[in-house]
Amino acid sequence: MNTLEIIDWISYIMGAALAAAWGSLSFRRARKRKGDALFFYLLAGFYACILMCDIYYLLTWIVEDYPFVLSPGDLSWVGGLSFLITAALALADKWTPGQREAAKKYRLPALAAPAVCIAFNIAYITIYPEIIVNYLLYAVPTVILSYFALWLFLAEHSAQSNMQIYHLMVLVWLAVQLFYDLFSTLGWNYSFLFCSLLLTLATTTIYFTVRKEADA
Amino acid sequence: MIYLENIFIGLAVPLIIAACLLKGETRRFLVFFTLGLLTCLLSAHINSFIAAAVSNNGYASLTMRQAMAQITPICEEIMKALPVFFFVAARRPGRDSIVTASLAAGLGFAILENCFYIMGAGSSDFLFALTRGFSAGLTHTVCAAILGYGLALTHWRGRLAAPCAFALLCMTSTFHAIYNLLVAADGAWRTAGYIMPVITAAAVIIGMANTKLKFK
Repeated sequence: MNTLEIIDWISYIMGAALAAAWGSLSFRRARKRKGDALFFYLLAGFYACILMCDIYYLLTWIVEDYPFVLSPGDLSWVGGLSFLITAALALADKWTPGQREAAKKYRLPALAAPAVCIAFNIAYITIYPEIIVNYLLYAVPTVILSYFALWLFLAEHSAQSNMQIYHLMVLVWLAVQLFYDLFSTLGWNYSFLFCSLLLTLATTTIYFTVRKEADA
Repeated sequence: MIYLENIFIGLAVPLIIAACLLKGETRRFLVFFTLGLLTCLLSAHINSFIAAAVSNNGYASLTMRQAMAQITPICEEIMKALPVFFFVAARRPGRDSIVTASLAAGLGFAILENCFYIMGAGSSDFLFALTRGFSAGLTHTVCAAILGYGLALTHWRGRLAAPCAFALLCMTSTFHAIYNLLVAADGAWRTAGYIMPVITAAAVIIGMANTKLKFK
């Protein structure tokens, strides 16, 4: 592992750590104000999982000289995606019966997102079939999350809700992740700085959106 | 050679008898404490079995250190969480009961594991006992606290409970894996591994101080 890669990892870790800390503080703040703190808790959990995944990989690289093919780091990533799925379900639960009825018509178009994810995963497996277990492990929560993110985005967009920006950022984050995995599979390993910048931007947008919604 | 089963019997019998005599939260604490001891015993056997199975099936290069960093944390965290998951699914308990059950299971697990390692080291090494207490003991307690508080926040939200429980399990497994990875290394990394649970425990205590597990 060269210095540039370590800097890239650390920048990603710093982004995730700041996001997790921000989520935790927002959670405490919302709880004190007796607001809806659950969403901040889920976001903090998501970023904590991303943070631990990156720390695990970096440490494995430094301490063991090479990363394991399938490790608890991967599990942490899947855990992070599960937190986002929980957050999506929590947001859908808040809909009124009228909104829920209106959202039904977006179920079919929302299948486009999982279809794209599956296409990407087929590409990864074709290029690099040795780590098929990893791709399957990542593919299942990614497909579920992408479906919910696009469905909720379309529904919230038609309702002109602030939360549409949140769902859009989740979709952007998933897209970045899919492209990052593709670049990694093709052997281009210097995209972490790019990812950390996007992560920070996405986080800022997400928190401002959620706070605005909570205040409203 | 130390027989973990004998230590388990010595610790569990008085606890079971005491649990029969007591009622309410105290009984629940003792039951889950005993279940924590039992899960420690079972996971010790399962870890050995999986490590042997993996090294005999094409992963011959998997060293004991790597198995400790990869297999052990996942197995231990799943085993430790199972009684709590069953409790939450079957009994629909209150939030405080979930935290009590999770912490008790974690403590039971940590105590039997510490007994085994301290007796293995000759039991006269005070520094080793102190280090084990503040590192491995705290790691299990912190993981149990994360799981307990997290479940207590979401278990009453119907369909949110399952993905969130899975995400928490992934999170605790990775936290445990990072600890195992660090303590298996040498020098400063090992020291960092010993310090990590202490800092995290302090953060959890500060974060959850005066917490009312109440959500809108």
